[in-house]
Amino acid sequence: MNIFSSVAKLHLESHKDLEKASVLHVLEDTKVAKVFMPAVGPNGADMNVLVKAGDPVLVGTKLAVRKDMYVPMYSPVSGTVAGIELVYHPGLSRPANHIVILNDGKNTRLPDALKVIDPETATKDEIVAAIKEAGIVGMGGAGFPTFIKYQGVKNIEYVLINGVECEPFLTTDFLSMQLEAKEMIQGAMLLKKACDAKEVVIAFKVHKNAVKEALDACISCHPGVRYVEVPDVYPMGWEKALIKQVFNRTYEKLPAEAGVIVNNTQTAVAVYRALVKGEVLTHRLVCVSGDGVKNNGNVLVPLGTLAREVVEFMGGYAEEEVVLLPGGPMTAKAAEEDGFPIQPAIGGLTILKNKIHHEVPCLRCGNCTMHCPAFLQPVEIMDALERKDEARLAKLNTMKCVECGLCATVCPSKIDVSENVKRAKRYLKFAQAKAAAKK
Amino acid sequence: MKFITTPGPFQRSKRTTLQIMLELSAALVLVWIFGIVYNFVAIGPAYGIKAILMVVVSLVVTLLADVLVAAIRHKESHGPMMKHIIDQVIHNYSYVTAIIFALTLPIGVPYYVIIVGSLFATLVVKYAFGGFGSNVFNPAAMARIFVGVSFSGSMLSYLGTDISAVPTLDLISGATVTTQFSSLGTKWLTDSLTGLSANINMLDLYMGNYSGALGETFTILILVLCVVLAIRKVINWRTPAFYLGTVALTSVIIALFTGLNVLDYTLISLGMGGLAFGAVFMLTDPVTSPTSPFGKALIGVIAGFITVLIRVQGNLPEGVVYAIAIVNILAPVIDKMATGLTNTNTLKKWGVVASAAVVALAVNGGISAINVRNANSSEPSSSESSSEPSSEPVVVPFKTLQGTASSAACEEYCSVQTMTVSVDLDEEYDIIDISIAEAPTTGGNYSTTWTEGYDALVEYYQGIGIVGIQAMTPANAAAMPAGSFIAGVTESSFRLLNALKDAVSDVEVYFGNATSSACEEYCDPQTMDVTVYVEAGIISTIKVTGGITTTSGNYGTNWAENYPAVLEYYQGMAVADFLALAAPAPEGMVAGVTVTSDRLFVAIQHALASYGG
Repeated sequence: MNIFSSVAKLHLESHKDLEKASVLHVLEDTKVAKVFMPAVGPNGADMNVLVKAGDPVLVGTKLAVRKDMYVPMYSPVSGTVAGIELVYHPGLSRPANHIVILNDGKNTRLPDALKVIDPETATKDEIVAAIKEAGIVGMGGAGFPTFIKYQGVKNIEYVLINGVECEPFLTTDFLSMQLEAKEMIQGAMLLKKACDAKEVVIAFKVHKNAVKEALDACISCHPGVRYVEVPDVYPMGWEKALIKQVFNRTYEKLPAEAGVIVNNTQTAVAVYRALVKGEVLTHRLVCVSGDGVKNNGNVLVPLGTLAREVVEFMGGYAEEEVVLLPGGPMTAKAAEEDGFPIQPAIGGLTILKNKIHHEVPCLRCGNCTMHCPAFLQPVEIMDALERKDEARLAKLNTMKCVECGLCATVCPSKIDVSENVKRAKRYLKFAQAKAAAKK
Repeated sequence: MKFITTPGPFQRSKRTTLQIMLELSAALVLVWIFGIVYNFVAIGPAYGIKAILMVVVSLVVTLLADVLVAAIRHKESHGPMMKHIIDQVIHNYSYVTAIIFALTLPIGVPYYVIIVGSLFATLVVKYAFGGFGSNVFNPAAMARIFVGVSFSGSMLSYLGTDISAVPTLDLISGATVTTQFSSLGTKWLTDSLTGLSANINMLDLYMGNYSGALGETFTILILVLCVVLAIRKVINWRTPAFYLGTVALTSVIIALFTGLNVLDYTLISLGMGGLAFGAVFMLTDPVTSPTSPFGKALIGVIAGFITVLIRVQGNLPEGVVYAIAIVNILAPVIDKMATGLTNTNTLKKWGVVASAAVVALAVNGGISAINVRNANSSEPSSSESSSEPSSEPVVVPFKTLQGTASSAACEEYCSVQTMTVSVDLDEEYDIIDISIAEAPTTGGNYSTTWTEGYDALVEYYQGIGIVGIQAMTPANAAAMPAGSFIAGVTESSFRLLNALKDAVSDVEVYFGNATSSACEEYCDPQTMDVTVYVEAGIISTIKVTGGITTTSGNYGTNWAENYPAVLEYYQGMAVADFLALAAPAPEGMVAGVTVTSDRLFVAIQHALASYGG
């Protein structure tokens, strides 16, 4: 045990009612009058919009394509395109263009929207191409285009299916693994083939017996698949921490360096559905939780449903003032309004009563340093930012921060440590860009 | 509906800084309670009450200082003044410092010292440096240094003047166990408690069954609290572990190098003085420690090094607070240097810690070994001034008087100095030589300056003689007349004077004269001056200081040849017997020089007229 090092983890109170989380609530399509699909990419760049107001669409109609990487976006419902509207985009924290579709509730599918492949005979390249064409993005929260992880990779030994869900409150992976275990495993097998890996490893936290049972039932049918239980700590679901825990390997930038590719459980399910069933992503599980909303539970909602409607479906808000988090309490940024649509990257609506913290001066206890999973020194980074010391910020490896929020969680002085480190990152980036431009 | 958009994360630990400080205060209060109980039970109610009041006064003064600063710094934007003041008082945690500071003081400390110290800690060390979170030095440790240096003579371990009321103090100097221990044999290099004036054993030492600073004695309680606080994450375990570990390991090495009992010496080192208290409550202060886990361990090692160094080689009986102050200075530097990822460079970090430890062990072990060797080899010739080969013939003194003087006793951060002098007198009670038998002065440069100037001092006192010495009554070292002190070593010079005064204290000196004429008409009146030295009612010696000669010619020669015999006749006579004489006895007359002899007799009578007055 390295006594000079950060312990890099902390057991957080999970706030997960596993019994309640195992119940599937369904927000019927007929109840969702309009869906909103973003017309901009995650960094705000405009997408190539292929439809216009008045166009009829079916489930699987291509709506738009991202310009920077080829990521097609398909309509999750059948109906008519109402037009383009500015709607709040939580990732960008501002309104952005969204394609509005009036839902006719019929779910009429566009035949051959996606080309189906045969999992037995499909080649590696065909699988990757199919994933790309299906526009599959990570459903664990990052929304990263899945095909990129598999394009041109070499020396991959493992596909790691990440069902850890280390953030408090979130339980969609938990439910998905119970209900869709077979699909997940089959999807994982396709991913395994896509990178010539030798084994699939499914990881989830201890004490999740329902998941174990579901997996035990079908894992024997698939050679080369096993599962492993990991400790209930945060941030166990972070790729780097998980790979270190499961395989005892480290890497610098990408898991592929360690011979591993990581995908979320629900992404694997989406891969199976798209490649083998030809189905585009139309719904996703959303975990509505927290003491700021009347009922807690996992809801299956049509993609593009406004968050507000999901909350109403679950009984509405419990307070006048709440914190609305698209995601979990640790990493999600509080939304300014509830009029944003559910997209593949939004797996939870964590709604909390507002707690006011009394901030006092830093007592230099070093708790933040003691717990940082990236082994940084947040308190020193904050100091360096105050002094605008770019050289020291660089030496402190500021850019390696993964914004997990653990430093602020453990701070007894209730300082917004994580926020300050994020600011330091922005400051350093800006300073380095300025210095580079001068040259 | 309102959506709050404060920055995340939105699940915070329930632990607050206030909780941490309150738990620390609770531990301190436990230590304080023991101090109160010990003083009540082992000594007396007055002491128990003083123990209570010491902390209370410290708290009250600190509170007032806090309120003052909060009021001065209050701005419109802070909201209502009262609320702001209360908020500032609660969240600046000065009360923790107040308790710690009071617990480092001895029971006999005057209240004004507590007040000054508390104000210094709060206003100067804390607020002047930026308040909570920004202070460079641990306020309690610095305040302790400040009062220890400024009011060293007031840091007594007894109330009033009755030293015997307090068990375990040295009855003469009032020195505490720690100070007694540090002056046993070679400094801090004894492995047994039996030589102490106090009658305590190892269990007493750890159970706090002795008199020392208010909170520092109950070592076992403090160590238990250390474990509890570390588990509750109120203090970081690395700092006290590495600090106590370094001191323990250094003690083992010192014991091995100097042939002491390893276990006993190590136990004494850990249990004596303010080590445990400083380790748990002062060195662990997070504000003045580095933030990285590596830094927190490193300062433990460095502080351990300096503590032991001051103990074995420094002037002071105890070095804990000075070690803490020095390490406080190093904290920012250590943080500045430890920039990498915390899980990297582990070997390098251990290397630094190990190197610091090795330096601590080597330096302290070496110094201890040298000190012990020097002490052993210098004992037989401790009064070596007489064994120096000299070109002058050794004069055997007629009489040697001895005297002793000590400097004021004080607690922990100064040491009691005792000087013993021997004054060699000739038959005429003139000073032939002054030699110092024991502990002339402090070490280092002082020693050299003293040695160089010493002969001049002896000459001075030879010049003024016993009479001059008795006449000198300077109030302190600063009031000594020129020539009677060596610049820069005034305390020792003052002590020398006091020792000399002690030596000659039994000698009474009387002056007298008589005037008469050898004949009525053509002889001028002659005045003879005498100085009579009396000890214990017996005339020791008579000096004729003026008007020795009488008429010239044969009378003069006759007188000069024979008057010493007259003086010898009177010398050794009891004063009472002399005063009973109406006229000089036949032995007191020089044949043919009766007038002068008579004059001598009358002069002595006049001198002794004030005897017994």
